Amino acid sequence: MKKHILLFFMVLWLVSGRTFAQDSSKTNTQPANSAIKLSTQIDRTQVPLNRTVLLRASLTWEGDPDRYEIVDFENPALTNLEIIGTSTSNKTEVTAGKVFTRRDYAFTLKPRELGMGYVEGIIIKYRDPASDKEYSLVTQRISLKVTDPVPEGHAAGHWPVTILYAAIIIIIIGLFWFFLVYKKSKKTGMPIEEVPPIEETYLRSLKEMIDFNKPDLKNDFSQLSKHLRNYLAEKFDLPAIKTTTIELIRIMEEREMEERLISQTKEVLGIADEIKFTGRLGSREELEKIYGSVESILERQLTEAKAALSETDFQDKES
Amino acid sequence: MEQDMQAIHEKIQKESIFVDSLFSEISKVIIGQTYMIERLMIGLLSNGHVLLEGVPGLAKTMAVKTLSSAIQTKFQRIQFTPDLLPADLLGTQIYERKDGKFTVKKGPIFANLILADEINRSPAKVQSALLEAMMERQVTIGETTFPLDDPFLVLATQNPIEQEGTYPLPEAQVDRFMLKLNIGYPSKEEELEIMRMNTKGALPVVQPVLKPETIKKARAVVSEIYIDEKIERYIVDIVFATRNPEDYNLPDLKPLIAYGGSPRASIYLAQASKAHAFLRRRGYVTPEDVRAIGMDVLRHRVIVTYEAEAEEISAEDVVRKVLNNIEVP
Repeated sequence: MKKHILLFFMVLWLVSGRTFAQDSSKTNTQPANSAIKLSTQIDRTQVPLNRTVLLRASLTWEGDPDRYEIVDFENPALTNLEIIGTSTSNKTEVTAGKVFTRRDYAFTLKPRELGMGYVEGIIIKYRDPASDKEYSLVTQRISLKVTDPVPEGHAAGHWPVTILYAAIIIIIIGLFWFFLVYKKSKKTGMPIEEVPPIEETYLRSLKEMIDFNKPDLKNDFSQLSKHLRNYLAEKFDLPAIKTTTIELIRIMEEREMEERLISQTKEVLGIADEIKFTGRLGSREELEKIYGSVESILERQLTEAKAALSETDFQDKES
Repeated sequence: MEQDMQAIHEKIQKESIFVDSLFSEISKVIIGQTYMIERLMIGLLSNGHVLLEGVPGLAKTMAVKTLSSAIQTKFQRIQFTPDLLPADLLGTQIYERKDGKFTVKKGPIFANLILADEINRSPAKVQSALLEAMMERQVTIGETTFPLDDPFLVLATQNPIEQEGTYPLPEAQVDRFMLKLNIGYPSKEEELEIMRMNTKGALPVVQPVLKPETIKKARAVVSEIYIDEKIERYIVDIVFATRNPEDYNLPDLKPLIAYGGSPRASIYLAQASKAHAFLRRRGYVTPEDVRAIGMDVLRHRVIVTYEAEAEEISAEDVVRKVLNNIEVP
């Protein structure tokens, strides 16, 4: 019985003594039901001597970022490896209505010599504000093999840049050549393709439009009027299609266009309007009269256009 | 056709003699404003009511009063106020104690020419009573229906700048006016003349030069004026372009127009174009007539969207673009 009582007190002392030790240091190992987890991983298990390896330690827990407070995070203890870069990142996401926080610590490691390299355990100390206690998390040792260095592939890596440079040079040479050819052709006075005056087209379609052997005294006046309006719109950029005769004549007068052209236009459109809108049939004489006027306008403008063209040619040759 | 045209031409020459004398009588008192007077004449000749909109002091009321003085007709001016009742306008039944019967007391609407001054100052029920009479051309008091006089023409004015205490006419009711005129300011020279005339003393007296029978005869001639199918199609194209602008190569107007012109717009545009041709002593309608009157017929029939209002694009801008882009026959 005494033995049993003694054993009981020894167990009690051991338990109470452990609790006392934890309180004094304020650091516990992770509680069994804790929601915070630490994991580590490396992106390869073998690394050439002239390359690096990425070690990532991830700390995840359920709750907001301030659910736990990271008290201490020590760089990992390394064997045959050295740290050449570090970074940290935080991420919070909501899944099924629950908030999860993830904190990553990344280390870029470089091997020192051939053989084996080791990442000793990473120790993280954190505090739980809810219980105001500190805990620690420890990872397991990770090993990786350091292999012979690989050759540096300079040429292969720069192929796209080389092709880009080559393309730019070709384009520049092409543009320069085009400029030289253009300059040469200008100097030697190569003929530029001549566009025939629009009057020729309008005169041709005018002749095809009216058949004086079988005149259509109802519609021919409308066609002639439209033909003249289309010509004026194309030649002089007048709003001849969408304005009435009075408005068109006013615009022509405002632009101080040739008086003869204005009076002939007024005559043609005036006669055509009267026949179009009074519903009466025009006479053959009226049709011949306004046909002649339209033809005269086009022929006169054609002569002027040709004269202007030849004058431009002459000036070009002179220069 | 040629003989018909000759006959119409002769009728026009005969029946339009009054036009010059009417213009000269009105111009004794109204300086400038040819646009407004011409449109009032068009309303008179085509039996269409006219709504005049403009800031105060532009002689809107004066022009209508002068026109009525120049015509030997029964004229009534009704000042629209917030407390006006439909019965004040149309008339009512009065109990005669002697006979023990109700007798009808006709309202001021029983006249040939009505000036509805500041029409937007009265509430909707009064506006509605007037506008119904305008369309039906008859009034029912008690159980008796009375036809209105012929000619019967309503010339209404409204002021666009005062919004407080006004009742803007609904679109459906504005549509009953054939023309809506926007009255602008006179030119510098005209204003100088107006100032001189009004500071001299009494204004000249306008003599009546036109009888209701003359107006009826002139209206008959207006209705005979020839309108070619090309012009009719042109009118329909204009009105359709306010409804489906994308079909007329005006796709940018589509988001700006909430409602286009109604068939009433086509009817009124054709009628008003004929009256315009009559004033030019022409027996047929030309595209000039349509374009001259198009804005006045359409500006109150095209309803723009909020998007257009936000971009400060008015119905007038839309109509102007339509008129300037439809191919003229």
